[in-house]
Amino acid sequence: MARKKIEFRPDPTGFDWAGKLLLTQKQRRSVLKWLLYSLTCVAGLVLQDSMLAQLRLLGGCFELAPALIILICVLEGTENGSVFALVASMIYVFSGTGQDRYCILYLTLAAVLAAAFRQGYLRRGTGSDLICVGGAMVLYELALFATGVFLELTYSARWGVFVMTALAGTLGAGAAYVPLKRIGTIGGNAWKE
Amino acid sequence: MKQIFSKRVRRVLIAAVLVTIVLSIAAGTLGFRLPDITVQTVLQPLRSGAQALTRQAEGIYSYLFRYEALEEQVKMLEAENAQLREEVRAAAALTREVERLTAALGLKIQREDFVLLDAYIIGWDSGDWSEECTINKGSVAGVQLNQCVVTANGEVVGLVTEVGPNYAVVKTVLDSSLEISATVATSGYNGMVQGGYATGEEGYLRMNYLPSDAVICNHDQVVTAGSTLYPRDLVLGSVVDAGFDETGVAKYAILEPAADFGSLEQIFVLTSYATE
Repeated sequence: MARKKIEFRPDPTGFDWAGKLLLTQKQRRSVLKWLLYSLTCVAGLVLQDSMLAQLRLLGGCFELAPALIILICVLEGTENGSVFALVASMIYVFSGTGQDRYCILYLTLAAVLAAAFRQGYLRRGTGSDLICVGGAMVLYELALFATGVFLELTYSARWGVFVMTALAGTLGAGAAYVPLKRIGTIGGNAWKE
Repeated sequence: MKQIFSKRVRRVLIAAVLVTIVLSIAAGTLGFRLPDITVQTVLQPLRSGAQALTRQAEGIYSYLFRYEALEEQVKMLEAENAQLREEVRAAAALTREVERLTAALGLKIQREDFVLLDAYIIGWDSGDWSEECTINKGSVAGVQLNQCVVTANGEVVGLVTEVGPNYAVVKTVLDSSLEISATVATSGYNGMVQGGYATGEEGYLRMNYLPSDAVICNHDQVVTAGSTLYPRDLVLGSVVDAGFDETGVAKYAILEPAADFGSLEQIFVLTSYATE
């Protein structure tokens, strides 16, 4: 006969920094999840600056960091994802990799729209998440392109390059999808739909 | 959609609009760049590390997969080296003659006044229209705004446009917003050189405002004409094409940049030089 598993666990006796912060276990896991999301974005940013900056996909650049920010927002939903998108897009712009201040608005808006569309009209899944990321990247890049044309920094014949940039970014997000989804499961699913 | 755009999301979107407006005004009018400097200072070691890793990986890749090509290249370079030695011997005699003539004319030997600071590129801007790179030296090392950046061979790379304590941003000559007063070395025609992106010549430079009767030849070298930002006679590029501009009253030339931006790693910031 199988022995009943004892579920009792004694309180930890050692010094615990997280315990000192008076956080519940759920909050600690939540902190860990957002920390890992942030680290992934920073890694994506550094990768974009150092290794991917000189690569081109049919003329399009690999804008990995914006795609990761949008993907995280889609995975987390509009409530929490929008706050993350705003903060992350600010860091992205301050890092010098983002074109200018207007990227904060474009990126936050694109991320929120992608998350809202996914939540409102599509079932959760890899395909639907990446379609939303791709759509939001196209929206973001075309907003950048329109601003560039308006400010005479680029010219209208280059719209295709911006679309390719969006696709290249989405490919990058696709590569990071599995680890980010795993990070999203830390602390249990936060969304209710 | 009403449920999805909750009060919190609406607040975040309003905050995004406000942050964008406030930061744009603060950066544009007050020059407030403290957040940029803070974030880039923190990221600098990470970027340096990533760049070093990239170089290592490229080195290993070259060793593993381009060994035969490198062997071929070595043989070719050895033959070229022998030919160059021969030419150097001939040139040495000419150099001595030039030195004698220069001394006779009382001209100064140029570029002894250059004070150079070496730096490594740690990141490239991956945006579409801007052509910028970040280097691993900043104000602590003596880099200042609007200093000229060159390669080891004296080819112009660009201009320092942003400086932090341990990093600086260099706008390269490929950027359309950078204009440099230049001269065709062989003929002496003057014009303005800027990045060719805005006119559809991506990766090339465009020399504008050349006289309509100017005779421009392929491979003519174009050098800086000398200004407050750039010393004279730094190589910008060589002519690969020319034609009349849209107005029909001036010529333009397309230049291949002298600096090889694809393989650029180390650059030199010209921290000081004597102005004429």
